[in-house]
Amino acid sequence: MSGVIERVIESWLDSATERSFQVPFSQILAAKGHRVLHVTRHCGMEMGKDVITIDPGHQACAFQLKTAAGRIGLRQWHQEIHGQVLALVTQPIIHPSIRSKAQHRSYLVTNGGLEEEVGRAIDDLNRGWEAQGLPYRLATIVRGELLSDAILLEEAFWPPVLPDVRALLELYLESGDGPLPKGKLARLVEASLGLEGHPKRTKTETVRAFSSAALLTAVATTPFTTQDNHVAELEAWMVFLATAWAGATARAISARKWASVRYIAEEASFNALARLGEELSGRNSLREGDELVDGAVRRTRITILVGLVATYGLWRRVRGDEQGRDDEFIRAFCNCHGGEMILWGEGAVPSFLALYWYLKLVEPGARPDAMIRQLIEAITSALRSGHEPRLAGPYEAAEEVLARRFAAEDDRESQNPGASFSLEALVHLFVRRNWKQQMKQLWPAVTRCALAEFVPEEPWMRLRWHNDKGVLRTLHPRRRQEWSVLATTAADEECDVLADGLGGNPALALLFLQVFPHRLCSSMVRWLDGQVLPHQRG
Amino acid sequence: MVRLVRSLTRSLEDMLPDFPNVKRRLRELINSRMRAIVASGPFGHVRQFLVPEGHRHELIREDGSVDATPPHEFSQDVTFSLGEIEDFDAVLPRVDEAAMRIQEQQSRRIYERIGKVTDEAGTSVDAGGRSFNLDLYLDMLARVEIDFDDSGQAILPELHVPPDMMPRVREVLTAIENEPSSKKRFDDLMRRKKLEWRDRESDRKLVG
Repeated sequence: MSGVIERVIESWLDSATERSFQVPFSQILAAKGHRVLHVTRHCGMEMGKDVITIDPGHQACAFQLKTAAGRIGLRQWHQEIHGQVLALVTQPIIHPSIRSKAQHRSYLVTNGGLEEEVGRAIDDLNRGWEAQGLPYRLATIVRGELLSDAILLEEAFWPPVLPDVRALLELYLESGDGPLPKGKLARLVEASLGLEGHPKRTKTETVRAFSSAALLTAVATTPFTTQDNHVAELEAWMVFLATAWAGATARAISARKWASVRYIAEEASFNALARLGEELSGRNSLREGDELVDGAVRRTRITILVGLVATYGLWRRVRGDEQGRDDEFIRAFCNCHGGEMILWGEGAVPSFLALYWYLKLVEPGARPDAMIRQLIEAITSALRSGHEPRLAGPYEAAEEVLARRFAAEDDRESQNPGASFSLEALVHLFVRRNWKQQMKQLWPAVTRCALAEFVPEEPWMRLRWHNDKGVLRTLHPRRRQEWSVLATTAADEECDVLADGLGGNPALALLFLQVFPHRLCSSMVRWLDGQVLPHQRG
Repeated sequence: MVRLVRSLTRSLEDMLPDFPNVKRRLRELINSRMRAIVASGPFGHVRQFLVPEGHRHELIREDGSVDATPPHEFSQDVTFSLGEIEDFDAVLPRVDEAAMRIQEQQSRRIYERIGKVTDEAGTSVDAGGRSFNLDLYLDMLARVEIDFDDSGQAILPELHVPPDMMPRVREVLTAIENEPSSKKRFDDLMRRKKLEWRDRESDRKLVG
């Protein structure tokens, strides 16, 4: 079995692009004890440095990644690489975490090899600098070393059992142009981390396994990266992050112990959002794939995109990124396409919430609150007894819902749970905005609905994709309710799983809910509302 | 679902040509067919609640009481001999029969549960050996909540009776329609029930 996985790693390495290669390479460095400070988004600012780290000897390191089909030859060296290497070596690293003025270590990294002439050229460069008394040196990391580092990680931690190997192969052989099979990836990552239901690892092993699981995530989702399927990419990293946080919390592993791995994965998610934004800003249409039938899925796609673009806008603000053209685009996109969103199922609610919070931030006022009211009305209407078609629950992915809509009558088996997983959260949000009279109008319809919530055995399990153990609670709300009691409940912002898990980052938490919509619950929404709009409680 | 008990032992090392995708699809169709048969029973139209995750379910009622009835498996074993299993046309009726048995198990359990819950809630009526009559029927209706639709018509609860009681039930219901005194008693009760319903509905309030 290990031989099969080694072939997969080889295949991945040989076909990697710079973009698909940099995150897993960064994870390999993290596994070797490097503190990863920066992973490039491939914009003009990087000055020849794709990855910046501090190695276990506290030395600053800069890496330039170059992919090659085979070996880097002299032509490629002269035309493309030589100038970048000079910038890599001679220009200092500008990063707030690097204060020392000592010369950094520089590495040219390739997934291929180097022609003999290129090796000679690098050697000549190094000798020349030495002869001039300059501290510059260029080292190389080539395919063989990368492969053996990756295989070492794999041998230690990648799941050896057949079902997991099959899942890895199935993911690796996906076409990459469809939705990411999130459950399959989550199970793979859990197996690698030794979470519940899988062979257990010690605390020390789990810390090391984080890097391995991250590498596994990158390799397994190669087809999606190759297709520039940015949504699938960011979903993959969110699956990894959530599962890793679950593992860290379950084993009481401090955030510091896997900080580099976490940083790389968070940057990968953020960069995928940024690339999505770049792609959208460059497009003149939102069509994709077979255009004849694209109209059937268009609004569902737009709903997903608006939610993610809004999240990108929020994340930029959380990071303190300077407001510029990107933000103008985000605002324009949300305003232009927000009206085309569709409640394809309860799984779409997090996308609407992302837009809601973004609009509340950039255009303070009551206008976005109407969206929450409309969602409450739509859900209560859909759950009314005898109403067809019913609203799909959050456990159903968009693809399943769409497929069922267009299936033959005989093949339509509704998975509707008969209760709402998001209604309580939306009601609390509306109450937090103090829409008392409107809530009174909505209340009778709310009391006719059953409210559902899955409560796992341990709070950290809310970060897992699936739990075999736990209680599914269905609540029938009281017909008569006091506004003050409802308001008090709605004001409670305690949510340990988000405050402690996912690093307490509200943008990441919002992304988590869009990738794991079945985890949305009222406590998470209240916490998020308190984080995003701390001064807008009604 | 149906468990097939194999009475065949054969070498597992040999492989003959097979059509797993077709068979997988046939299994799906058989499962759908069984679900349809189970759903054709007396409780098939009752809204079902899917439990997508976890190992138990809790229902929290409006009054705050909690029902944590553990899940119950309904299943039926079916045994096929070698000869039977080789004739697919002979398999289907046996599968249908198993589905009917499951439907019966489910119905029996639901009736038991309803009996237990109504006894606890005080809404059950002991006929004391009397045959079904108007008094009993009106007594039963008086003890339950009755909702009304948008046009003001009562949404009466379903009557589930053994087959031998059906003629008597029909007599009572016909009397309600045709005999003025029976009709008046029924209509008076429905008027009272409508007022109760209106009170309940008007209590769907957010106050304060």
